[in-house]
This record gives sequence, C-alpha cells and structure tokens, in this order.
Amino acid sequence: MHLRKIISLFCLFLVLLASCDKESATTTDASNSTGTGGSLAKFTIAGNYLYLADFSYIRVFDISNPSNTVEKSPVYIGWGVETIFPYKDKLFIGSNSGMFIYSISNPSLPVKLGQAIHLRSCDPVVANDTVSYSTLQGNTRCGPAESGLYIYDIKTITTPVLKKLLPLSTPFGLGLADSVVFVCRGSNGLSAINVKDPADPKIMYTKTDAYYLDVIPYNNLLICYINTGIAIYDASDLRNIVKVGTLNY
Amino acid sequence: MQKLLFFLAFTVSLVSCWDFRKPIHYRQGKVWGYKPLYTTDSSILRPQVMGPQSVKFPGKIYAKGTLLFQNDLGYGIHVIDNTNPAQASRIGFIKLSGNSEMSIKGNFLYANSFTDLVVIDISNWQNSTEVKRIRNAFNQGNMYTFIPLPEHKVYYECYSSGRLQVGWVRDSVYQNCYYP
Repeated sequence: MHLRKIISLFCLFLVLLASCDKESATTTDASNSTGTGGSLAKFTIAGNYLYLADFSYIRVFDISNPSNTVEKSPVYIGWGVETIFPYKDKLFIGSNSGMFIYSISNPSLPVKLGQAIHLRSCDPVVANDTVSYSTLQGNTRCGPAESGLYIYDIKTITTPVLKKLLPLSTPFGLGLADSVVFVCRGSNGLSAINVKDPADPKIMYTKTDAYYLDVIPYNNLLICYINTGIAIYDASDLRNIVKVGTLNY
Repeated sequence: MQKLLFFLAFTVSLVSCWDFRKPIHYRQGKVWGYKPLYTTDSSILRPQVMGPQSVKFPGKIYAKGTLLFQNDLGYGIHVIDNTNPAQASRIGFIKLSGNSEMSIKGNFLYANSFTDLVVIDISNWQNSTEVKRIRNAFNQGNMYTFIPLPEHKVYYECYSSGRLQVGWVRDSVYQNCYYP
C-alpha cells in the first residue's frame, strides 16, 4: 500500500515538474523580448491614413481631419511586426517571420496580397513597382537567417520570388534612391549597391568612417543615422556621394 | 498518515517548480537593478516646446522640408534646422514623455506618448500644440518599455502599463525582467 502511494506521489511529482518547465520557458521568452525595439519606422502615412506597426497588428487611423483623427479597425498581421513602408497603394510590412504585402486600395481596410516567409529575423523593407529589398540580420536577437540584402521579384504581388540574396554582414536600415540601395551596416559602414539589374546587384562602394544604423534618401541628400550623430551626404551623384556635414550628439 | 501524505505532495509540488538547470545566480529573489519611477502628475503628458537640448537616447530621424526631427527615446523630439546641410543644428526640442515614434503630414506631427497617439499642430513648431490624443493606440502588446534603461545587462522591475513612468532608479528588484 505504501509503495503504491509512493509511486503515485512520484508520478504527481513528474507531472508537476513537466508542467512547471513549460511555464518557466514562456516567462523567460517574455522577458527576453522586452526591450526589442525596431531601429526603423513603425509609423507611416499614406494618403489620408496613418498606419502603426503595433506588435502584431497594423493600427489604422483616418487623419483627413487631423484634429479629429479617427481610429479604424486594426488588422492582425502576425507576431513581431517591426517595420512598415508605404509604396503607392501598398504597404510593405517587415516582421520577425517575413515580409508581408498589403493592399491599401481601400485605405481604411488593408488586405493581404502576398508574403515571403523566411527564417526568424529582423526585416526592414523598401520597394518600387517590381522589386522589394529587405535586409535580414541573423543574430541572437533577431534569429538565425543568413545576413544580407534579400531582393524579391514582386511582379506577381501575391507570390514574391526571391531573385537574389546578396550576403552582407551586419545589415541594419536601408534606403532606395533610383537604382541604388544604400545599406547601413553598423561598424562595417554604409554600402551603396547598384540594383539596375536586381538579379545582379553590385556593391559600388562602402563608406567606413562611422557606425551606420539607418539612412533616409531625401531631396538629393542622404540623411544617415550614425552612432555619434547625424551624417548628411550630397547624393546628387549616386556614384560619388559627398559628405557635407555631421551633427554630433 | 493521509495528512502527512498530503503535506508531502504539497511540498513536492512546490519543489517541482524550481528549475534545477538554472545557474545559482539566477535563483528567485531580489537582485540589484532598476525600478521604474512613476508619477501621477498627468501634466507631464502635455507636449512642451523647449530650447535646444543635448541628446540622451537618440532615436529615429524624420525629414520634412528643411527640418529634421529626431526622437530622444522616452523624452521627446529634437528639431534640427537642415537649411544648410553643412551646418545642420538643433534649434529646439518638443518635450513629449514616452515618445519613440513619429510621422508628419502637412502641419501635423503624429507621435506616440507612451501608448497614446498624439496629434500635434506644428504649423509654427515654436508654438506646437496638442490637437488630439487617442488613448492606448500603440500599446506594443504591453511589452515595451518607453523610458530606456540607463544601461544594458541589468535586471529591472517590469514596466506596469497604464502608469506614467518618468525614469528609473537603482534599487533592489525582483528579477522579473531583464534588459540584455
């Protein structure tokens, strides 16, 4: 009789051990993900609408009358929405699990057109009519994907096709100016990549004078977010950008 | 006997919740870390224009016309005159507690203040005024700390959503959150 009780007690012990195991794993995950902030935009405006990348949703706001901004229904995307990039009537959404393309033909109700799922990673996106570019950074925070510039053919929007993977170490933010993609690569600098033929991207040059995090091509300027401040380049000649100023912290 | 067995089962159930694989320093209890400093003064939410400030926690950059804007994570938005890019300079600061994101259309700046979406009329940025606030429009799954920790690799008491945080204080905390 005692033996039976001891055995059942032992079983109870095993069951409890197993159940507690699962719980502590979840808790650890939750605390690890605290403090994960994208280095790129989570707010964007297209037309009269403001879209926020909010954790696993896109939150939608009608801003046609700014002082009477109205929230519309949020759209569920999936876990780990990191960045949002508008192009014409589309939103390109970078998430931890892939790139999603949403139509905003009806701006108050984004509808999913296509997606490219990849290994867990951080994933900012820029795009034009036929091609989208994202940088994936494989590391401990972001996941195991191979680091580089991922170039997708999006002519058939519902099924993006990986056209080319250009391996690049430590890619962060990126920007598209005409047929040049600028990729910020932390201590590895700022790389200019000619994508006239998206299937055959070529690194033109790399500026290694600073720790580059993000870049905004704007009116013939490149505004670069570097770890010591803001660096501004004259980019009227994309083959030869010239640093015109630096604003230090 | 029954009572004793019940007591034993209870004890075993407690013991079974220990994670034996955890290194010793990770055991439950208090450790040295950071505790959120909260306030009940909701006036800190009001955007406020100030003179140029030094940069504490640089965040994202936004370009509009000849101006650049840069978040100071948790504190507000630097206004930068970029009329002459060779001599770009900070010309002011829009204090906005809990800020991390922004976007601009026309004369309106859309930015978060903690989990609120705030619409600010910047037609004359020196007189920036809040024209609309939508509560809990950007809650980040309630897992985001809006005021940056002063250092990495520290334990901190998890941010309690719905409360107004103004900073962090060094204190002994339960190790319920960790900033890698």
